[in-house]
Amino acid sequence: MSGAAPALAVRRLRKSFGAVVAVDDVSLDTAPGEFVSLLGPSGCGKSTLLRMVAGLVEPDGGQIVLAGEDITRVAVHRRNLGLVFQSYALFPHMTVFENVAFGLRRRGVSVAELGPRVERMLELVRLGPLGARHPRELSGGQQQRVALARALVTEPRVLLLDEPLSNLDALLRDEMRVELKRLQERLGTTMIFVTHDQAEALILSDRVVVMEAGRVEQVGRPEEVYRQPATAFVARFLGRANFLAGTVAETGGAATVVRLDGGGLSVVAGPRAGLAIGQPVSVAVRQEAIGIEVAGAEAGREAGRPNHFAVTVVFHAFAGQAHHYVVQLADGRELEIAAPGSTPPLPRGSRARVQWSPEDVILLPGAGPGGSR
Amino acid sequence: MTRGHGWRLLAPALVLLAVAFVGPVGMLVPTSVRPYVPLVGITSGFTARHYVRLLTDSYYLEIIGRTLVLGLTVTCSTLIIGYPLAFFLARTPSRWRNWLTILVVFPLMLNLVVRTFGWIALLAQNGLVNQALQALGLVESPVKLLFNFAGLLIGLTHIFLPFMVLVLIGAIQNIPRDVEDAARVLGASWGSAFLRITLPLSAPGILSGSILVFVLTISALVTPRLLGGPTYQVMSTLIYDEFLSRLNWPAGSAQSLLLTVMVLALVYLSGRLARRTGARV
Amino acid sequence: MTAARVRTWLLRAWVTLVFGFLMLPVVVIVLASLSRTSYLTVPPRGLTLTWFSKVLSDPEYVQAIVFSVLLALVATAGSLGAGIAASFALIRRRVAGGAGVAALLNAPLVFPGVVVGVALLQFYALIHLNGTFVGLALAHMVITVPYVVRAVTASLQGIDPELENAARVLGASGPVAFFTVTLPLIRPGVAAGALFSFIVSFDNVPVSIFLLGAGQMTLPVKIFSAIEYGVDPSIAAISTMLILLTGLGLAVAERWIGFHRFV
Repeated sequence: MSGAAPALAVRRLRKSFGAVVAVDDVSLDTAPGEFVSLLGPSGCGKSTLLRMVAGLVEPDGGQIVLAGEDITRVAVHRRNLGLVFQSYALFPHMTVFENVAFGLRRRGVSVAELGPRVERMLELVRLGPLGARHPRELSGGQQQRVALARALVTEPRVLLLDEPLSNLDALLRDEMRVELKRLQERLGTTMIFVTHDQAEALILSDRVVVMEAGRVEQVGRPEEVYRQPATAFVARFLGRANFLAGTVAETGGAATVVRLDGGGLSVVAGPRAGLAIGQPVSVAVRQEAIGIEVAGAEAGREAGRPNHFAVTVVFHAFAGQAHHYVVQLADGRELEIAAPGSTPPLPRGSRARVQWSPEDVILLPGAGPGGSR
Repeated sequence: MTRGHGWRLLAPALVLLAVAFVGPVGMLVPTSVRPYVPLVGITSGFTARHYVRLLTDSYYLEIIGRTLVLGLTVTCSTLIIGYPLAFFLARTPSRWRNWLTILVVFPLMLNLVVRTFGWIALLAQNGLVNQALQALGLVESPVKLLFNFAGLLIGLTHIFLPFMVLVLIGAIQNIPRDVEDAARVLGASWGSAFLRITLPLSAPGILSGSILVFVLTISALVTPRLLGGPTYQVMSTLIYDEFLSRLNWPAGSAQSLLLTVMVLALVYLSGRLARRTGARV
Repeated sequence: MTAARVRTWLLRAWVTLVFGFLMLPVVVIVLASLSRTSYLTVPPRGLTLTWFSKVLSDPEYVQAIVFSVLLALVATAGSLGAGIAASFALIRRRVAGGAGVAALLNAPLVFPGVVVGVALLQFYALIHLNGTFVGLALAHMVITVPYVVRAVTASLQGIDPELENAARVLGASGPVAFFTVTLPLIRPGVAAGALFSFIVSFDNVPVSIFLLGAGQMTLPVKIFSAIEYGVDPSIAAISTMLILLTGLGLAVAERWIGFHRFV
């Protein structure tokens, strides 16, 4: 983040519903013009956090600062934020035009100015000719655009989006992602985007905030949280990985070697500071990071190379873009693999060889694969 | 930020009900234990006499018994007459269904005095029913249908049938059709599917409809008064006369409270019963 | 014929009979109102509309009609105000003991009207509200407010609460959000509640009859006393007018808001 004052800062925000802690001491800074995703499973507190920022939920403690102004106790309708709802919440008794004009009317914008501003906004979201329609006469994607236009027309300081794409079908969702990103780049509006869809978060965001059980697990650029997950939860939630428990056997300048529990197998990872020999660690290898090929004559000769293992295919399924495999290692352990769909399939029972590069190995200190952090 | 708001919004309705409903009904309690001296009026003091008479005097016991029997028979007749109609309206694919439902609502919305008046015209000595019975040769001379049990039963059944039907329509519509279809596929005949699936699943509706009709019947004033006349009394008409003709407010208060207790007890019990059956279904 | 078809026809026959039973008194009244005879008779002997003009030129009936309409309008206005606010609080605000409050608001629906009547007779005598229009209107609000609460509550439950949140985020204060978004959306429920309220008030006898002061008379109490006095075709004529007005009102309400959803 640059040195500029944060567009939105959340400090030590807390909220409980009865005995359930929904948001637990969360702090977060957002730079002007930044696109930040709050990513996590349902019930992780991301929506509650967003609704506290919007003013729809009252925090138990903490502070919300918008462009240097403390708005924690400011009434919802005076915050001048935009919010796009998961259900869109379009007013069914108003036309598209009236929906978009609603916020401007509340701000006392003159009639002369109102029309052109609404029209301009509708053009921007490519709904130009549909102003006279009612929401029920629009497709899901069009309703989505109206919701965006309605939230953006008042030029909010920050736009909050609560799972806005989750009600669209897969194809439309991809299309809207692109559109949303381009809109953001064009308008430069700071956006906070709540989602449970990791792909969506990675594609759209400048930064991703991974949340679980009311807490922030990790904050980082998409590549960071994907390649260097800070916790087992993040590794598990972003992409599909195989988790293997072991202990650190060697540390050094070039590599870290982990001996897996209950067998003679070792995994080689890249260099990593802060690990002591004998320390229990969890090794995570993403399904798509594992290469698989049919075992050749040279199988025996290469057995000694790092992260190369002989396996037996115990399950195979073709899913278009990928082949899904379950393979069994020599010690009986199973790995799940997603191989490119363009490769020739390996039938069940085949003898094969798997390998992955040390850079693709994620080391998570402490807990085994079952632990969440 | 919205918590205190709720009570402020509820205040007008709650104040209204407290001042013009709960309070005044509660004030019947002290009145009901005051002595009443004819030609003098209500005197100070305490007496349980009104309650004792109400629960021991055969005159009052007969009226109470008649009221309850009337409630029971009207409930049964509306249920038997109404269930098939409700079943039809809940299940018919006809595009006229909503209008047919409105046709059930119509008598409900029509002035009660007017509806009862229609039955006077029908049930009178020379009324349409007696004319028809005689024309068909079913009876020799006119049958007495007014100022007795038969008249009240017919009139009240007509008055409260729509309530029963509307409650039952809701209950039957809530039964998923595929449950019945499943029973049929599993080999049940239509009759046994109805008896074992549909009827038990509509039991909550039957219960609430029955309680509603029973409670309304034992509370009814206009229809029993007009079809029963001043002599064939039920509890409501008794209370009416006690307050407006005999001016014995203490006795009337005791009768009012007995009727109230009966109604509230039934509503409370049905609520408990509905929760129990509801939990099981 | 298959068993299923026999069942269908039996059911239809029964339904027709029951509708006949439901409509029988209505038909009889309309017919009786047209008779030339001075006593009530069905089928009518000769046809005339004189009973209608007789009723409409009778100042007692006209005054009772005006009084009833006025009372029903005032009671409905009061019930709408109190009932809409209460429904909104029950559905949209978390109120501790909300279930108890809802039960209390609905209590007058099953409470014996005659008991409400005598209780208020005594109470009003104590606080010198007896025979006043205010007292009568308050009593009618008590018995009509549950109908408003029921219809408005049903309507509110069908409205996404996020709509109001959306309005507030867009800059509308609570009241502005209610009047620009929520109220227009629950209009059918409000209309149904108002119609119920008006009819229940306009029809009431068991409460009114105890509270009417000297010189006050509602139409149903007037008809009620007239019947006790002795039946004649003028009662059938005023009844026929009520039948036509009720039918018309219901038909309009069904076309306009789908009234059957609220019963």
